[in-house]
Amino acid sequence: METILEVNEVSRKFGGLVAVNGVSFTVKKGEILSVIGPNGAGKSTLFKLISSFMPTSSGNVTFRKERISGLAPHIVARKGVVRTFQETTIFRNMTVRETVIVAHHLRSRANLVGYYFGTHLARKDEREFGESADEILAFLNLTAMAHEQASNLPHGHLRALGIAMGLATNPVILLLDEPFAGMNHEETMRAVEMVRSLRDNRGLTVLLVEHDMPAVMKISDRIVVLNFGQKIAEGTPQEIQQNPAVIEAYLGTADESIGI
Amino acid sequence: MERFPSNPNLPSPQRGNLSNLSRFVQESRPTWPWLGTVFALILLFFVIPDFIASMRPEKQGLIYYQFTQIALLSIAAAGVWLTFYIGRINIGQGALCLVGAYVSAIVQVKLDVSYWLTIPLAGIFCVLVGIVIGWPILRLRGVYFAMITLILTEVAKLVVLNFPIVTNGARGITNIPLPEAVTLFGFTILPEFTADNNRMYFYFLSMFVMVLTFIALFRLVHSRIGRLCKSLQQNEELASSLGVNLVLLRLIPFCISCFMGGVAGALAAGVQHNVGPSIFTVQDSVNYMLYCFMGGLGNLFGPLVGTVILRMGWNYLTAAGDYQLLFYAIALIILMLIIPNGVMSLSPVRIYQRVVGWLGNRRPTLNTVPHNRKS
Amino acid sequence: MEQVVVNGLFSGAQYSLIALGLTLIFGLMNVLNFAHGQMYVLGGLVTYTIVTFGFGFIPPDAFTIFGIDFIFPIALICAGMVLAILGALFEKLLFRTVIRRSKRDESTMLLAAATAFLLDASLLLIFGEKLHSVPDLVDGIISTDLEPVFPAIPFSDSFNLPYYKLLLGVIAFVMILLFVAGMRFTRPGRAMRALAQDRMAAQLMGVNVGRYTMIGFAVGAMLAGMTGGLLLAASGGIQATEGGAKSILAFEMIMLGGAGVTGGAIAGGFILGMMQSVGHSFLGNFTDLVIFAALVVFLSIRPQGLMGKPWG
Ligand SMILES: Nc1ncnc2c1ncn2[C@@H]1O[C@H](COP(=O)(O)OP(=O)(O)OP(=O)(O)O)[C@@H](O)[C@H]1O
Ligand SMILES: [Mg+2]
Repeated sequence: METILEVNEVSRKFGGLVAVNGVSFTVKKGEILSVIGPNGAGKSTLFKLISSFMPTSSGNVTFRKERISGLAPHIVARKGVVRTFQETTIFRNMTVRETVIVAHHLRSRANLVGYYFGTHLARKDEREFGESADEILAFLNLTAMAHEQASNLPHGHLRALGIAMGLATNPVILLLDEPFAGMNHEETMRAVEMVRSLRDNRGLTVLLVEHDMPAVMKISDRIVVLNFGQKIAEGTPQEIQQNPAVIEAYLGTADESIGI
Repeated sequence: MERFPSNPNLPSPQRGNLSNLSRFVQESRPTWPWLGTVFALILLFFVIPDFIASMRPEKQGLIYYQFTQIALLSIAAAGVWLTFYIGRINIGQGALCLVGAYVSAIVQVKLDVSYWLTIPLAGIFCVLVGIVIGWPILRLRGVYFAMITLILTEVAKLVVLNFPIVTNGARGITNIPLPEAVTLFGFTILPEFTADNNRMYFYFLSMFVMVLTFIALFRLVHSRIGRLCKSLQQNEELASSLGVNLVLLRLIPFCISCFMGGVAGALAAGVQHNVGPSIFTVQDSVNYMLYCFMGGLGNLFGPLVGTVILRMGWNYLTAAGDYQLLFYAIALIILMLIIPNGVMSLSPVRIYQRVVGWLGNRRPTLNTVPHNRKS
Repeated sequence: MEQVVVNGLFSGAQYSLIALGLTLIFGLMNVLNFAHGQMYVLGGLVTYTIVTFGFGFIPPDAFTIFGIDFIFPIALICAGMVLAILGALFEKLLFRTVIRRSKRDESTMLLAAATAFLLDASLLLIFGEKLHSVPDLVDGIISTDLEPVFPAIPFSDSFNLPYYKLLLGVIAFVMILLFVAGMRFTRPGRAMRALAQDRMAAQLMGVNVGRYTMIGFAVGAMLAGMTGGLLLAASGGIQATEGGAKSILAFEMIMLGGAGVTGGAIAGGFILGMMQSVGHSFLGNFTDLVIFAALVVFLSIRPQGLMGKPWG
């Protein structure tokens, strides 16, 4: 399989704190790669660096052999690298359906002037966005609350809405930051199935940060482990579960078990 | 279009009553703007002039003038409202109005261009100003943006005062001619404005521009651009993660707002026949913001409603003489305490429930009514 | 050149005091106090009234003890108290209600604008448009007095610093120091700093939010009022209509330094004072335009100002 995303020696400093320290890895097309690590390990920061929401202090990220660090975030999104947020970040005063329709922005073929005057192409776009939004909502089990205000959704559904927004942009790589947080076991397993079926059916590449170890082990093809900003291990779920450095990092810093 | 795999373990989507209802409302939307426009046109171009015609002749000019002012102010306030739609509080609209008024006046007097051309010209010039100023300052948010735009109004005045070669400095430009007639193939499409009729004609002109402004704004807000703006208002970071070009999408509404400011300024220059550095001041800029807030920021017609209420109130308060501003301020504070979210935030249903509930407290027999009527 | 630097420092100290009050109110309540300039003017005019007319039946010269006239400091303190009470009332009766009831933070801006109108109107009605001034506090000018003492320092002929200005400058500096020390070492000061930093956390730690917000507003207003008194004595006088312009100056300062940060307000005040002083001797009328342009350029590079938190 071809390599699609390359992270080369990426670092990020906040004052004296090195949040991400010389991390390198590659992502292959159609792969589900998880980034794990204790709290504050620098996972979210790494995602921000990849999606160019934050400039790197050193190192760079290439997507399909093209350098994307340093570009504006919306350009990176346009190229197909789309992130969701760790926090439940939403448009508060929009309905769920409206939100997902807005998220189709990258698929628009008409330009803004066209949308203003409602040209044929623009209306076609709108229709297709609506249909596609309904499909996405159905797929993520959100149809029943399509006309609900986003701010009224319960936590688990907000995560699903975040994923829905990511999907609506038609990404090549989707970066999911703790997508299963706040979900119960059953919901998590359903969401895991969902992400896998996205990969299987649409060839989506998924990069995710997650603390829920059973889910990570179930979903991932490969895992990258960060601790104090540095990559301490990389490998298949089996390899990671047996890696002494990883066990050390988890036992040494947090009471979180790695779920073996 | 991409197809999504159907999710294996999902209950079939069900639609409740509520979503059916809101769907119906959404789908039936396209008819009421037309009705509203026709109604507004009849009101503004027939009912109100008819009403004014029934007044004493010496009073008519003043009334036309006051209505004209409301129209102009609401055009400018609509621009402020639009900048709020991308989450920016704009207290600099007075600056753009001033620029628009001066562009119109200078181009007419020094270059001898027809008034009619100077209106769009002022708008376009203000768009350019908007690009130059907006590009750096639109990065600021919240109070920072509010503060810098507030300073902008003062700066516009300083510019006028400091370049007297172009602007005549503190004396202003006082010899703006009345607009002349425009004929096309022998037909008079725009009549000549004379000393006798210009109050009335300016009324029609401003109302026409105002209706156009709100139609354009309505279209904007209900198009995809409007939705994108709203997404910017609520979360810029999230919007940019969805591929929205923040710089562009902030600049477009801001420039439209500047255009409206410029046009309002140019119209004001015509209406008043003269311009000076203090025809639009910081207080005007603050007032536009007040109109928007008072009308309600959640609704497109908020600025219009706010302008009508506050400006009419202000006009009535002229009777108070020196105490005008004092009473105005007190009225504002009281309004603010009663309806902090603006007039358009009041829903008739809620008021009804309130009133009935209030009556119900005194007469318990009515108490059940609001609950049964709910939703 | 000495003159320019001294003028800059002098107005810088006064400006810092204005900016401190504004930034305190902003930091505590997220309210942009449009009426700050008007509060400043009110303070100045209260000082003027007391210095000129005394307290009703007590004439102003009753406060001369051992040949020293104490009416000015007394008037200054009274102005501070009047403004503190006004600020506390505004907060308790108006801002608190609107913050609680409104959907948007920004609504307070509208209320602040309305209070600015209210003060503007009242001041104009009571004091009219004429310039109000008080006699100089003490006589004498530094350059002529110091030349024999420090012959080594080459005072240029144009340099002049009257003693009363020096005195007022010192008072302003002392007030800044007192304010900073108060914020750092007293209980209310620490509570207010905690509030400004993280409202929620401060509340959880048992800080009485309502009370300290009110105190903060009162202190902010008091600073504005006392600065008004100082500048009344320092400059040629105060006009009832100059409030809006002073608010705008204060906004420039806190944008420059960073809103909601004490250090930023002081830095902003001094930088603006210095820029104006330098500008007026080189650029004349264009100073304010140039300062604005510089501010826009600066903010487009550093939106949060010198010391502000991003999007404070
Ligand atoms: N904008 C910032 N400024 C300063 N420090 C930051 C910033 N963002 C993150 N940090 C610091 O960088 C470190 C890594 O943070 P990051 O959010 O990437 O951790 P994480 O691995 O995502 O943790 P969690 O599992 O809790 O989400 C933390 O110590 C954090 O305090
Ligand atoms: Mg994180």
